[in-house]
Amino acid sequence: MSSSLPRSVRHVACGSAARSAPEDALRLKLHGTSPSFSVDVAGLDQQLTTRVAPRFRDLIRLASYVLVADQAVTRGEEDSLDLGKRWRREFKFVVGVEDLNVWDCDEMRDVLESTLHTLTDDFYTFEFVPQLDSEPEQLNFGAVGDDPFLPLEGFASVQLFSGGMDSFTGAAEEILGSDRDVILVSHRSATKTWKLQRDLIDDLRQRAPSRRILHVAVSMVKHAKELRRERTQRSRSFLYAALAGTVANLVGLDFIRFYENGIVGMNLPVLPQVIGTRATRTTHPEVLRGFSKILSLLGSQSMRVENPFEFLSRAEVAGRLNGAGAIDVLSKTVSCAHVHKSSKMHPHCGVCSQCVDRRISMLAAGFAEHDPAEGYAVDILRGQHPTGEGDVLTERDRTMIVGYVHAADRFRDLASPLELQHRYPEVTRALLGLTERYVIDADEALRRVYEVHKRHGDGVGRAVETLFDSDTVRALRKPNGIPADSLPALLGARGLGMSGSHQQKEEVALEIVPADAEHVFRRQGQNWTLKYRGGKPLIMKHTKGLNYISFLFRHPSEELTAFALIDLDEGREVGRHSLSTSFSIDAKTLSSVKGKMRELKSALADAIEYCDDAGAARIRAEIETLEDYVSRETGLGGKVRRESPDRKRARSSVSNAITRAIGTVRKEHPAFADYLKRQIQTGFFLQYRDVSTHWLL
Amino acid sequence: MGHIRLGKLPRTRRWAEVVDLLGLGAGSAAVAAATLDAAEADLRGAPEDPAVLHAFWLLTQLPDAARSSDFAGALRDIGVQVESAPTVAELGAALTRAIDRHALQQRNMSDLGEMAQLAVVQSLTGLLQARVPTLFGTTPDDVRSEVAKLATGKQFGMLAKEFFAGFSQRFLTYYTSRELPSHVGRGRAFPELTDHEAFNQALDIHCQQASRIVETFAGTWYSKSRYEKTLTPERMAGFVGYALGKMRRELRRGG
Repeated sequence: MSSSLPRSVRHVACGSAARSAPEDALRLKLHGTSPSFSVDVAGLDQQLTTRVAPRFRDLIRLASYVLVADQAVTRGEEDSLDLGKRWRREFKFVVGVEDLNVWDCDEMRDVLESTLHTLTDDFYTFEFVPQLDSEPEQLNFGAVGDDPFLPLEGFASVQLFSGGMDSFTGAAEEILGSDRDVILVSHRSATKTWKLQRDLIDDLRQRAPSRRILHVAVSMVKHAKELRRERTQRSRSFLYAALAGTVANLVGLDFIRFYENGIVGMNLPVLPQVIGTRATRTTHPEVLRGFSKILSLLGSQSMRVENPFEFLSRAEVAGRLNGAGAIDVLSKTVSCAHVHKSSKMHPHCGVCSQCVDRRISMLAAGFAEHDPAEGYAVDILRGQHPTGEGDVLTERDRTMIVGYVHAADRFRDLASPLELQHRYPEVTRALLGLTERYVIDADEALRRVYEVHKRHGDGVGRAVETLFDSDTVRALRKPNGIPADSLPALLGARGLGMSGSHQQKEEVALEIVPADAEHVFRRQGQNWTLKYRGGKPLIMKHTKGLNYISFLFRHPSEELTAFALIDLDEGREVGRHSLSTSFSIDAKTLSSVKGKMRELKSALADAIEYCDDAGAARIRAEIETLEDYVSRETGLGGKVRRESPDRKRARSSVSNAITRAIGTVRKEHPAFADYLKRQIQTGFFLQYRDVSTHWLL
Repeated sequence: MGHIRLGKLPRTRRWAEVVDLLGLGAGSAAVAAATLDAAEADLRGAPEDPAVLHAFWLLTQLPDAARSSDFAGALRDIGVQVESAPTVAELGAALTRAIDRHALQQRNMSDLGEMAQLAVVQSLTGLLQARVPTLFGTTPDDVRSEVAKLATGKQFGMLAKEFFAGFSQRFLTYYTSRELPSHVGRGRAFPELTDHEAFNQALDIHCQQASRIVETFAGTWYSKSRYEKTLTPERMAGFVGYALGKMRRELRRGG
């Protein structure tokens, strides 16, 4: 699929705009008897929320519309190979707002469109229209469980709280370490996540009974199945920032905080297939910069969106949790990205990027005893389910784990900040946000990002080394000494010089052909050994066709007659009848040669235009050779001569033998057969076209 | 909050060949050739991709910007927003941002475009980090001076070589990295993680070697086009298409 095909545009009409939307628009509304979805904000007293400025109510609704649209339009399958055509979507929003003046300006539209594009890879266009008073878009406010409503004065910070290790550490540092009252803002995405968050907050309250902790949570319920098509939810942190920014505005603070370690925040690709937001940018520095600008445009003062863990690795965050005196709570936090797979017994799946990072980072930090294996559905260190159930890793799991360790190795081996920029140019997207937030120059920002990645790589390297104790190394040397899906078996011996299958495979191959030969076409007695592109060797019985192919391989790009090949096969002195043959060209070949000449002339024009002198000289020589050939092999006026019966017999015999041989190869190796069919010209004049492949004959 | 989406290669006949080769531990050249066979249509689309063309066009504009009396102003004129003459890091960030802004304005970006965007920063950073003095820190003047040197045919040929090597390597590994890690581990084609890295390095070298073919003519083309003042966005498609065609044929050699 061409990458330049236009993508379809999805119109999204929100609030009052829904009534006059085009037929195919996605209509989202929070009012009337059949709203498309509902938004509940728990933790804020309805009375207090009357103080929420209309522009901030608009913000929460806008972020909700964006997230619902994000989930309503599919990005295609994980395995689709369309160069991101379906991954990147285009939305045109028309949104009803209460405070039109603040939204309907170029500056706001620009920052919304660019921030959401960075966050999601999608393209957005926003048009704002007045929200009709007769159709109030309802946000529902209420209590959180039994929590009393608290007066909003005196809170020191507003921070996002997911219940993961990083956000819990941030909360613990503020509440336990700095003795401050905080507002924790959460997304209530699922019952189990909600319970996790509540339990963790209860724990903090027990540890610091004198501190006030206000828990505010947003949840969305979508009322139609069509709004639940896409799970990736790349835009979700916009809603979190919107709610946190609203609360901060309400309590008079000029900052909000995300807590996310720098490796995840930056989320540099673990593998080259991870392009753009295939790696989330939920807390990417450029996204936080955009959130800050949006919130600043809405408030009466500039609003900072911070991430205090931006230059820490996960292992270092664990150290901070220990410093706050709450490392014993680590096992209750959940970092897993696959919330839908978690269970009470195994809250972590064990194989997503978050779980892999957490498991290995806790080894690196020396806190593995606080992060027990039983919490993981798959124990990647031992290569087993704790329950001993069936297959341990899928191919996708293996890809994730290998990619993670491989990336960490690469970070560890970086020699300088510029080498980070050279190997991971993605890092440059983060620099502007960091320079603005920390008032540092780009070089210093790059240096800090380099250092945290280097420390992360070192930590992962150390953690993995601990897995290779002497017992494990001994077990690795035995055929089934260690589970195949355990991390040591997956990573191999890490330079201990053990190359199990590769060596075995090469030894087998050596009995027949040199192991390092990529292409083999060799006769040994009554058998042929064929090897294509370094693949598994094929053993085939001798046929004339294979002999003909072998002879053609010895003379790449030369045109040989069928007579010459028959001479060879019958053991006579080989009569070479290449282009100098006295026999005439057939019509099919003539047509093919003329077509080739046209192609070459076009290629020559390109080579001249783009100054490719060497290429042009080579093409000219090819054209001359073909012109000589055509003039010699055709009769007066360039007409094809009539074919003799001997010649026809030779042509059929050789061509049929080669076709049969290719057919036999096809049964064992279709790709090799395709290659032979493509590269060998049959007919009276035969030719093996590929000049670049070296065959061991 | 970090999520990573990973894909696998489809099990069509041509991709199955790539999967088979990786499973057999075949050499990087063979895998590159099979991957190019399977992804041929994708690569042919690159010269039509506006983001790819814009990325390469920016590269052609940098040397002359550095030769102007106001480097920063000349950069801004081509959409690269810097406050003053930039360091390598600032230039990399500004180039990334310029391509992002262009994509946003055009409402057009693709994975190929992102690969080209990354290859621009990678190629420039690679050349500059090797050339600018680092002992006492790199100054914007050092950077301007080295970028200005790229305006000769020979020097631009080297920059173009690095760009096409980087782009090709990213293009190939975009596909192979969907499969290669599955073959790492005891009893598999790449028993150790170091074998996996060795394969990727070999593929990188293969791309570097193949890109020499571009170096031989890119410099002459650049000098001629610069003299004729035809280094315009509209004229990029032909050259990028021609260069990628040459790269494709070179990468297939030995496969």
